Amino acid sequence: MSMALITIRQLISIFLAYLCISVLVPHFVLGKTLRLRNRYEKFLIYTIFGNFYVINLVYFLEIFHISYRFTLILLTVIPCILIKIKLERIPVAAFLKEKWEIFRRLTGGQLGVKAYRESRKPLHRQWRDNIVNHLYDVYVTKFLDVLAIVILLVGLVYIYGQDLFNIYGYKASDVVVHNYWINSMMGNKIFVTGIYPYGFHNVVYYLRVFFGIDIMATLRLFSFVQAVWVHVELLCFLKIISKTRFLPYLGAYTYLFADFYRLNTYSRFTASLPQEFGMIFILPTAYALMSYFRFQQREDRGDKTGKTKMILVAFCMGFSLTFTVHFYGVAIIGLYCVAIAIGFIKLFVKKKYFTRIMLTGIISVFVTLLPMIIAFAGGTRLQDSIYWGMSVIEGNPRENEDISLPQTDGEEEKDRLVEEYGAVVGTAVYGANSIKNNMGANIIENKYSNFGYLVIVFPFMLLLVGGIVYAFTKKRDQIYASVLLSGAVFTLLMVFMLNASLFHLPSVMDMNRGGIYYAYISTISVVLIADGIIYLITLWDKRKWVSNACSFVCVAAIVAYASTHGGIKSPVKSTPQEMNDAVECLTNIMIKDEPHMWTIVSANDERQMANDKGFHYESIDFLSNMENWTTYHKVTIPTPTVYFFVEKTPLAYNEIGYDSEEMISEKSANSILPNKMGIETYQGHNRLTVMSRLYYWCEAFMKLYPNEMTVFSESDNFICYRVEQNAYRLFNFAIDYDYNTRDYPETAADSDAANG
Amino acid sequence: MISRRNFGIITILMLIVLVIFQFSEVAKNAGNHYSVNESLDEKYPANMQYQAKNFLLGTDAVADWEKDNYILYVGDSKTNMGSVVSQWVTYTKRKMLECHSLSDFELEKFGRPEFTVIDSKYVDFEKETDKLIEMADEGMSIVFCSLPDSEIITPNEKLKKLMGISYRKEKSVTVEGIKLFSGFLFGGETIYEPKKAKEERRQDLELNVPWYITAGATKTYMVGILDEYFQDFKDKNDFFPALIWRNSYSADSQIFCVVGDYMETTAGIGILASMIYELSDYQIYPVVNAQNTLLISYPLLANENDEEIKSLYTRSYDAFQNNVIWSSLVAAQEKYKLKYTAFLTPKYNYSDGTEPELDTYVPYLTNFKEKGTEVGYSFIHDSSVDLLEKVNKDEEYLLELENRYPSTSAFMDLSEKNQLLDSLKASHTSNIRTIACDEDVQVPILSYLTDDVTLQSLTSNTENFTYSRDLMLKSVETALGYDNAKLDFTKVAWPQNENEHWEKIYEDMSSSLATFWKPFRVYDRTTLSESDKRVRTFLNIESVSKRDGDVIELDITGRDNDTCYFVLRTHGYIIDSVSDLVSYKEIEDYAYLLTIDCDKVTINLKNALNLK
Repeated sequence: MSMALITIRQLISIFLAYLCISVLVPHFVLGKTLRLRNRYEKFLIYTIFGNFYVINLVYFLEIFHISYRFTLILLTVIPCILIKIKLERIPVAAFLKEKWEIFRRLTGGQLGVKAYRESRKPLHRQWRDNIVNHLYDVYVTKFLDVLAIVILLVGLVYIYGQDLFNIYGYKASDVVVHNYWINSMMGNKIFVTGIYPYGFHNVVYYLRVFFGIDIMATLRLFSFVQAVWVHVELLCFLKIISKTRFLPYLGAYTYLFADFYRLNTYSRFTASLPQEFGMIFILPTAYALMSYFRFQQREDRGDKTGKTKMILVAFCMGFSLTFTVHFYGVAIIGLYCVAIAIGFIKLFVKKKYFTRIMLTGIISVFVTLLPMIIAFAGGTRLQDSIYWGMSVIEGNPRENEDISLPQTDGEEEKDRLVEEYGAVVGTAVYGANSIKNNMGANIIENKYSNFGYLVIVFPFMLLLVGGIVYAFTKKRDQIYASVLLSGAVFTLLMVFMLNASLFHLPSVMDMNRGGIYYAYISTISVVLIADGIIYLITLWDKRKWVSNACSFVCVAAIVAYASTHGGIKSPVKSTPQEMNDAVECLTNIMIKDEPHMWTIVSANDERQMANDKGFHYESIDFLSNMENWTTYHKVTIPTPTVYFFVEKTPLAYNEIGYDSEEMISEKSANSILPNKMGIETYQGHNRLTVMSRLYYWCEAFMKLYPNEMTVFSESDNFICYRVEQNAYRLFNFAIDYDYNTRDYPETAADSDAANG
Repeated sequence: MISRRNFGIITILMLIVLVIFQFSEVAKNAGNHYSVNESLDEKYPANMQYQAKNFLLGTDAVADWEKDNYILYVGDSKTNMGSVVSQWVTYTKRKMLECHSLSDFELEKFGRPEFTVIDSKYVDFEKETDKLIEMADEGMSIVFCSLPDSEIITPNEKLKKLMGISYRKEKSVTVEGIKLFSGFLFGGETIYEPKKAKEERRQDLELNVPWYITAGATKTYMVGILDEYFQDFKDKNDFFPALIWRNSYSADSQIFCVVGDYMETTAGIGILASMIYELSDYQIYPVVNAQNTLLISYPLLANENDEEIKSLYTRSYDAFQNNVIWSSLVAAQEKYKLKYTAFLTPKYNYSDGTEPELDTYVPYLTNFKEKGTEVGYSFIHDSSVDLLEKVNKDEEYLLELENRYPSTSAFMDLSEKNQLLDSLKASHTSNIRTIACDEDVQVPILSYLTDDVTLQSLTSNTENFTYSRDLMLKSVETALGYDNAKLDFTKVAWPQNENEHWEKIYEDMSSSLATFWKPFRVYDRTTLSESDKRVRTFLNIESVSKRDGDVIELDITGRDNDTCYFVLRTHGYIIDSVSDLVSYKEIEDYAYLLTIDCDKVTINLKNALNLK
């Protein structure tokens, strides 16, 4: 099967499986309880509930070493049913009694099948009518919305989807580490290298065990599902907080299509990584907190439809999720919560609100940390990156800081501005300049660097609009004003956090990572400014026709302008960590071959990728074990099938500056095998030597075993050999292939000299 | 009181029921032409005389060779091993050069053979190892059908390297069993190690073997099992004594070694066929595609040994044959889809004075006809008469019958071959054109006994089936797609011990059929006469094949519009499509049985293992 077809099939499987745990199952459980909420709110709440349950279920089972398919299914299905019964107050006994009675009458002949069918017809008719009405409501009355969402999804495929078909392997070097951690979970070994937020890993593990989707496939493709969720949630969030109908689409489109921000603010969406997965839970959590104020206020007024407790639970879960997936997410949602508290300060300071929110926050943190505390108490140490994170927060400088710092004239410039504008204004202008330069150098695309001041202007604009709304609208719209103010404060705080180093404060988040969040959040600010302005100028329009028309025109105009003036992003392209041919071979092997009946001898990420279904043997170990060959050498691999992955043009693996396109050759094979540690063995000329040696070994072995060893797949840059052997009488792979019986000079320089 | 009307209805209904039941029986009998033998009208393949000349028993048809296209045999074709090699060469239509010593062979003179087969008794390893190495260096592939004594091999490093022996661990070791790996002979992986007490009688393989540890670049096909010796040793499989292996001496030269006497039995035919397959990327060769089950001396028309039979089975032998044996045979036939050839005999013991019960003749034939069983004639008799006397006496008996079945097949004891021609002149033997006989490695499995009578030797029997017999069965099925199994009723009529009682024989037969024959159900079940036609075609045809990429083209000559059968073995390839008038069935992975009704065949293969 072609890789494109496999990718499509796997992507659909992963998408549907995640949709199932994030939307469909929560809808089954909570659908009736949340029937008064609109579909955007439901989507956000479902995402929180579904992910929270799955992640914590896996934590629970893994910590007690009882995580298996059976336990996962059991503890998914039964609690879902019980919660549904509890929430909907289903009279189970009466329900079962009724069904039993029908069954008894049917089997006893008192009720005919035809009569039974007739009795069900009104119900079926009602279902049919509901479905028809729902479809009519969605596809006819909201045709423009549906069209806009379809455009968003198509855009996602255009921007982020193409890369899935161009680069088959993992898109970031650290994905393979996460793969290792998830693989360990298959043996009920969580926190294998130390305590770390495992939210992302738990979800991937759940998809593997519950739905049978390969870990490798999920890690290859889940990035796209994450990107879809992040964008759709942005749309949902804006839909909920905006007053206009179409401006939310502008927000989603801007974030997806606009090339205002640098590549580093969105390139990580091509890789399945915890940080980007954590972004899924930021806006639902913010929504839950803001909704709490709204619902509590309504409840205080006597309206009991708000489900205040449920929204507080959602906030608790959401906050916990941001924490449990990636610690950066909790920094962002923390800032947003502070901003919301400031925006809703009038309500927040009330004892009831304050107490409940703080209590919820504490419970949330406790729930998040509980599995980690249990593991820590059991003697598991923290993962190294946690120590690193803590040292950064403590103010220690980072290693390998690759973000360029703004070029300012420093104190001289400051003195000049103070002299020119006075102490306060001069310092403020200097600060604004520094921020503009810093953001312009790291987040904003070069061609828009002149618009860098917008970074500072936007929050203040939003603050202004929010203030006007607060001041001039009726009391019921003050929640909206608070939302706008929260957005303004949040954006300001984000700017402050990202530029903390300019103020000689410890930088919690580097610009590279923080830029991703900033681009996401600033889109909300832009939409809220426009939304607030349109809202203010169309206050008189009770039926909202004008405001909707304005928002539509606004969206259409901006989209048309951007698309005709080159403001659209190019599809994202990632750097390969592995050859496409290798991933294609591995994927097909994993699909076709019997699990654990094969081994791959290679120099790449297959060790972790294949761990779920097969075995791996390092190329360098394989070759080293038959170096200086004698008849007593023995190299066996105890699986019936063995694959050898050889790169004819070795990959430049994680090497900045190495871009050799040198092919394997006799000259490269005629070198001593690299004796390096870790990945160094497979970098640069070392990789060339290993690949050349492996190639000549394969050719020599194939001559001896022409029927047993065949070429499994070959392209210009890659070749995969396949050996079929008797598992009860293994081949001794240690043969004399000429290069392993030669005397080599000790150093590469000597080797080059020997090669002339 | 019953009314007249009801009485009438009941009567009519009863009549209808009676007619319905009786009609089926009457119709069945009317349509049962029990005395007709359809095989009688079968035509012989053309060129029969030609093939008879080539395959006539006793003809030295193998001492012929063509330069660069022959098999070199170093040994004597008169020995058992030589007979096996000659048979394989004959069936595969190859040419063979026989040298009684290695020094007789000159590469410059004879050219490079396709394959060299060596009987180690005819090689002086101390002096001729260098010559063997020279042959290997020239790219010749060699089969050592037997190995010299381990004391000769152990000090000879060159020979060890040639044979792919790393070292000798023990001069001799008693293995617990023998394991044949899959992919070599048909039938899959087989472990010849009795696990239950009642299986121990099956173990007749040579278990005392020299213990060689094979070197790198070898592939092993059969090993001795030493589970208890190694206990929990992790890599124990790699240290089990190798019995059949291949050493990839160089890219062009593959050296096969066989420890033990397997090449001195018919097992050698399949082993050679599999070895030549291992040397090439594919093999396509003709096979018979016939599986016969022969019922020797069944039915016996006379109630011989009546007293003992009655004491054992509480009825006469005639009643026992009809009511018990036939019912059991029909059950086995249905279950295992067998086709019987029953070799009828009026009498076995001509000295006991009993006369054949001729009125039982027709019921037997009717039963046989219903079940598609062929009726042959059994030449087997006791020692009180000679063959001609038996035939003459039987003729007298059978002449009394009104409708006689003209048998075209017979079973005989080959020691009476000299009286055969005269025996075939009797009225009830004149139609015989194929004869089955007991196996003898010196007698080809398939050959011509006279110019127009074929000989089909037994290849297996269903009672007392042993592991060595299974190895032979697998081998013959691999090389010839053929099996000629017997069930001897002489023992049932004249039991010598408890094991020859029918219930024991039947139980043995059932378990053997269920176990050992299971892998070969892809082959057609035939009667001996049906098999005869296929054997003649098999011996008659010659074929040439060539492969270009994934396409195999096969040219067949001598088919004479008859259906012929070939086995195609590929390494990791499956059949994608075949030309018209060709159909195929899968025997096992990458092995197919082709049924061919044309002279030119194109087979398109597809790599089943590779991605691109």
